[in-house]
Amino acid sequence: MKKYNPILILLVFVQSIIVLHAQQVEKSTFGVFALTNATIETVTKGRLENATVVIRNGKIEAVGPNVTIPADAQVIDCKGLTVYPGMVDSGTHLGLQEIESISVTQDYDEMGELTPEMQALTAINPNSVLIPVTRVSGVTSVIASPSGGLFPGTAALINLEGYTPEQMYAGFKAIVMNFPSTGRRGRYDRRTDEDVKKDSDKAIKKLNETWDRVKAYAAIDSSTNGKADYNPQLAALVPVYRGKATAMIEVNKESDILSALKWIKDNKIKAILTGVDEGWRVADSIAIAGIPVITGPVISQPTRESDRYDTGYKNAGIMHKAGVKVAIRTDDAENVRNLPFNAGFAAAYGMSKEDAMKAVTIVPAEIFGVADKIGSIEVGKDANIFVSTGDPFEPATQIKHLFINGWNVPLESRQSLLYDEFLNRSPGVTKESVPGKS
Amino acid sequence: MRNIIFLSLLFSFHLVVGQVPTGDMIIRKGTVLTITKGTLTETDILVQKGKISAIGKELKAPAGTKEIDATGLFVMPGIIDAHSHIGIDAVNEATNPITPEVKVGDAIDPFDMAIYRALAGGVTTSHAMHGSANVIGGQCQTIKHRYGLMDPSAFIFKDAPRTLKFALGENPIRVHGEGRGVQPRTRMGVERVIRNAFAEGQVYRDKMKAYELEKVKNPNAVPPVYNERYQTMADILDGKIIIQCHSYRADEILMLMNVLRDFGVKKITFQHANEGFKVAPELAAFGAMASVFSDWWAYKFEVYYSTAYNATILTRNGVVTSINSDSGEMIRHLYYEAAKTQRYGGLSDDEALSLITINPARQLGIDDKVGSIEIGKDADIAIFSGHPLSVYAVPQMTIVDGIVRFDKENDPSDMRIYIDPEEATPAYYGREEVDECMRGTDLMFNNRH
Amino acid sequence: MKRKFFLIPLFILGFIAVIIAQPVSEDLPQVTGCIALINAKVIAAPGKPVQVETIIMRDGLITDIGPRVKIPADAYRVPADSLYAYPAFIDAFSSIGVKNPDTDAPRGGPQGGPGNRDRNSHPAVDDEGNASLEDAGITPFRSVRPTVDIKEKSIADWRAQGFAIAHIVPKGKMIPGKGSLIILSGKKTDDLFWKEDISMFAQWSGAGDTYPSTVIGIMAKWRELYHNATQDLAQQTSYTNAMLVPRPHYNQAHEALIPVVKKDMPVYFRAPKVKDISRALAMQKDLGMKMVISDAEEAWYLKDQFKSGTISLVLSLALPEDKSDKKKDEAKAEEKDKKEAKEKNEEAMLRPAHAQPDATAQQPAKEKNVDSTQTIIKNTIKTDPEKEAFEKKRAQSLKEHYQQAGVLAKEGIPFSFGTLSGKSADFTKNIKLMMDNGLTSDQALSALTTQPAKLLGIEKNCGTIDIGKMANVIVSSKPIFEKDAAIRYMIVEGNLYEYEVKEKKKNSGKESASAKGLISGTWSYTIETPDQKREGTLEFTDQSGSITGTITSSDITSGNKELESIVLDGNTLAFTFDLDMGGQMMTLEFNLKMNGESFDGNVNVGEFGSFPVTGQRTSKPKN
Repeated sequence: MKKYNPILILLVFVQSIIVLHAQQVEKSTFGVFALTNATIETVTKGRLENATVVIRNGKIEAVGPNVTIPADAQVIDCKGLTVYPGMVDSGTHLGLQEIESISVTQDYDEMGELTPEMQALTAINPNSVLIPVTRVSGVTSVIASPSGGLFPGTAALINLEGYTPEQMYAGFKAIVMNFPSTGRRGRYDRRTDEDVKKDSDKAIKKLNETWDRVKAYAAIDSSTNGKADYNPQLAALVPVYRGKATAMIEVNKESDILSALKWIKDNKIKAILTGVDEGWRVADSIAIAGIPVITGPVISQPTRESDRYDTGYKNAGIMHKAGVKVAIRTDDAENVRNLPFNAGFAAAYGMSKEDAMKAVTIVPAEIFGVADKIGSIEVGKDANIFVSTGDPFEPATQIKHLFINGWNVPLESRQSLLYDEFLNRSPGVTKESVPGKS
Repeated sequence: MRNIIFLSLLFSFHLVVGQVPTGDMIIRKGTVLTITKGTLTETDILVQKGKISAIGKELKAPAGTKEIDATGLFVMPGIIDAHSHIGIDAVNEATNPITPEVKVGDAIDPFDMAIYRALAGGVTTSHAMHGSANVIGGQCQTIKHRYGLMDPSAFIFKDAPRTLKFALGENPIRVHGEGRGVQPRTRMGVERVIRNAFAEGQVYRDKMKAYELEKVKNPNAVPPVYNERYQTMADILDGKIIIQCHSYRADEILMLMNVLRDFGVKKITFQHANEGFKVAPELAAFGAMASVFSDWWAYKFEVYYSTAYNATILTRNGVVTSINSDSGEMIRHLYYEAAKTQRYGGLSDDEALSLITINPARQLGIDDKVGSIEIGKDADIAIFSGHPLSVYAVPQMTIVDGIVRFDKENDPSDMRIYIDPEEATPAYYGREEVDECMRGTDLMFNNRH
Repeated sequence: MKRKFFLIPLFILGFIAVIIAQPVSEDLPQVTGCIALINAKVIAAPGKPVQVETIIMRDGLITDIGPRVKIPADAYRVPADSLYAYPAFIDAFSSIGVKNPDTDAPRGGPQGGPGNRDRNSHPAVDDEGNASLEDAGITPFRSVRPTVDIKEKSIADWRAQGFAIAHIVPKGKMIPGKGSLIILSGKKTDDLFWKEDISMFAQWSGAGDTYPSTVIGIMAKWRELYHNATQDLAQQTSYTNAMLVPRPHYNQAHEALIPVVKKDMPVYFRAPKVKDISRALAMQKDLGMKMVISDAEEAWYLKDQFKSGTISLVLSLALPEDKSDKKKDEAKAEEKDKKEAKEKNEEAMLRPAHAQPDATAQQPAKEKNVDSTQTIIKNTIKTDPEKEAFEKKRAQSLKEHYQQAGVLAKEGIPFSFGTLSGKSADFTKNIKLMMDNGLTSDQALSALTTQPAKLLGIEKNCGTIDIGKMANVIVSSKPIFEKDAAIRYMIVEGNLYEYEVKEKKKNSGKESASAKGLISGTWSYTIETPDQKREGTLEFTDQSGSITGTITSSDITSGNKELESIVLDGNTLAFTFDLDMGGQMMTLEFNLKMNGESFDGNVNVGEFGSFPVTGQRTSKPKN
């Protein structure tokens, strides 16, 4: 028998499903929409009751209780419903991963330690089955981030709507960096203490050496008017060195966070800290350094055996209280839809509901420099909006409508289609198919 | 609370095996979510010797009974996790596709911090399971979260029926077919391995029966060589053990039901059963139950065609369904995992809460003792600041057998019982993600997944 | 049997004690088979008063004892005035004299192990993945004897610590095999053995990628083995006594376990940690074998379970180390304080203008917070309450480990000591630690003599100094557990071993008290390189025999400052130091001659060559 490559078969299979799926999906529609009689959580300008939002040309044209409904608008009555700005997940693999255990569907971890020039945007799969599943919870934008080595690549902010990565791109990119860790990777990390230390010393050395070269390369680049030798790795880091591009620095352990803050200061880098699991231990230092933080998942275990059980849940709130600008992420791919619940947990454990909402809307928008476009419901901003039956952090709440860049996106996913098909399966149980009843 | 833990520590030294400490208390004026008998406002629960002895308004308690004021709080039965791997030191004996004779109850770890953390999520009972490396794994152990006791046997849920792990699909195929070069390497092989094991169990059972008969006539009759593996298979055939089967795809679920039909085995709960919704009518007709994730999917190929509506579809088709954790983190917030069924399918409050209380109790065969707030049941109780299906609800206190084992306000931060005399500062572990079901199998293969 | 008075050559290396005993007269021929230990202060048994007596030993036995016994004419006279005589120690559980397996046997996975995907046949379900008994580590039929070698250094090492008898067990996995009783004296391996196959040794060690690999597999396998051995025993009896009974099937492992099932042979279950112990106890409860919990480090947790006396107990002589060397901690804390203060300064500089102190009124971080998690946050430089709490717990745990023997003794629970996990070099130190934590010297002595004698069923022959007992005697300069006590003679079944007390010359990175004065303190050094003189300071500290040192120099700006491989041999001191030269690691090897308050020597710097180095002591440690 001829041997087929099982991976190839798999891919064909997956693709055929996507095609099949695409045929069933309702299409998004573009136009003028008026969401009327709504409660509006603007996030930046308080809550408006019995108000209207008008969407035109992909933007929010009007917001308020006394807005005249344009004649050409498609009216969506939102009585009893609440309008929110779309939520932003500040750290995911969405679009870069389809199935976690199948490496050929993982596009976030390139070979090599130093690959800052790798572009996440290149590998975003706009047709990932995971994306519609994510939208149903009101998440409209995410950071799709590479991960792996010291500088694994360039992350991108994308909107969860569009047929090409360019259509999805939402105006922010950052160089991802994994700050060398002095800790173990987990309980099952079986390296000896010496090896852990050796590895981390090596990593820090490598970082500093890399940075020395970036400096040198930048100097040559300046003195030759941009005619330095072709070196995409170093070239990609030059803007960070010059403070023109942002680095998203993943760091989690207490002492590592302090080292990272010092490194950032010493090298005068525009940075965002990500992860920051033990941020609660050094919240004041982070606040004083004035570096914003993206933390999460909130729903996570403490990092040490001796830690109080809820340190993971409280971390975001403690940092926020200390004065740190905190955004929340899921660090997930298939379950980015749980972003609102992560924010909800932060709210249950010390953050106010309002601040938790900001941590998934306006705060990330500010951190990424796109607060003029997304993160709140204000006139002139992109129409990234969802309408729900109530507080979107509450599991029982239903999301009714969702707009991205003014597109009215149907809230349908493979998961909802499977529900529709199998809730009342037909045919149901037949005599032949009843095990134990033959 | 510090004193209670301390006291119970003292207690443990004097424990006779099988005896566990119990307490008396009265929980006043809470909103009581009984699960099986509706919601009662401003209601008291009287606990005596670790059992619920009365439920009602303004109950009288014997003088000196510990009072817990639950005014404004929500009181629900202790949450039950039908699938976890906490509190045990060994999860997989991954050296053979068939190991029904091993018992994770032999490896209870009383010091596992995950037990305390589960208590802090309102979970009082969990089903510590063998992993999914083997087609027929080991016997599982239903445990109560009596954190603070030193004696491993004190964690055993007394008189809980025996349960045993089966596993279908990718995991046993990876470990044995791909990793060790023995059957099964396909889902066909998985079926064959199970059929072989049951057949061997039948042969063994027949031999044992013949021997028993012979022995009556002939005192010198020779017994067959004792084989704990086949004896356990025979026990399944005799209905003494509930199968708990790790499974994902609809086809393999149907396969196992067919095999069980052929061997006359009836008691089964399918674990995970991500595609259980596709064969919900068949599951219901067989009387099989399902313990599922609320929304986990796409972490491997066999769960790519999953839906978060699984629990709802199963419930609507009459399948006794629970939501489980299989994770040291998820076990801490099963109440909110259950709440997700309200987003995905709109289950009622009682339906949603049943998924983590009375239904898992049914699946583990302990619904006569726990899983609801009823007179005569064990006083395993979780008290929340708000309605437990709200994301903002925070567990305040968790009670096992009438003893407070978690108290948010009074517990110290560091709850370790066993302290390593050589480790100065507890190590940083990071936010680890471990595939609990496959714990202990890394010896078996070199690849990452 | 002919008793020979012989002295075998000994190699005692790296033997650490406050006072070093070394064997002497190694090559002299034996003089006689009779020894008279004259006028020793004899402690004949634990709890017995000291009496000045003479002990006569002949042909390996104690033949006479008393204050005025007649010394036979042919006796080798050992004057022992002012010396103390004790019954020699009995090691209840050890691997003295047992060789390490030469190489790891090839891993016995099924059908050639992992990765073999091409198989045509499939064995029966029960055999699928089941390895041979050997591969599975189930070898109860094995004796320890073939793996014993008289040349093993451990024999002389432990004898030098006072041990005359040991119960030794083989190395292996789940059930490595049977233990034997040996006498720590002899010319050839066979001479060592007294009784073979007196015990079954078991432990929680799985067979890696072979069944049983985990504690749950081991437990299941024990149940099955025990059940079948029981069944085999019954069947063998019927086969012998009745007609028409088929011949019992033969299984090597079941057969070997029959004495265990009959409770003729105890199972020595190695169970150091509390969970190991509770699991072994659960197994005993389930199966009912005669069990000795062995190598226990944490038995006090479960002390009630030993009160009934059905389970015997052998405690480990290994103790956890106190890793919080106080001085080190203090030094580190100081360094850390400085560092943190520096960081704090830097942070202050980092503080953005809008967050200057005048704005702190609005800083939520300054709010008083009662939340218990938040109080942990480091908001002070000097103290870290979290770390202090950890340290307190750890110190308490350490203390409990040290108190184990004392606590159990106080509870009246009998126990012996076993050397399996202990190091001979730590023996004295650890016994003293236990005595500092509640164990009395009588209790210690009985756990090393009469208790193990009873446990091993040799109390008629061993454990005390009495007429008719085996001539196993320790002769020491002071009461045996006292500080600075040194063993002068060991008599093992009438064979005399003499030890000379002298300051130790040879050393392996650790040093005796005399070294303290030699190098402790701060030294300045100068290395003469062709282009310049390089200067700095060296600091040495000596904590209970272990020398540590650091180097400070303006040349060394990054990386580790700890000195490594410090060896003091007489007055020569050698150590190495890894220097980070802009990313390149370079090992500096120092070889110094210490001349009181100064030193000279050279330093080797890899390919750069060797340079002269000189130095002076600038300060001595304060005590």
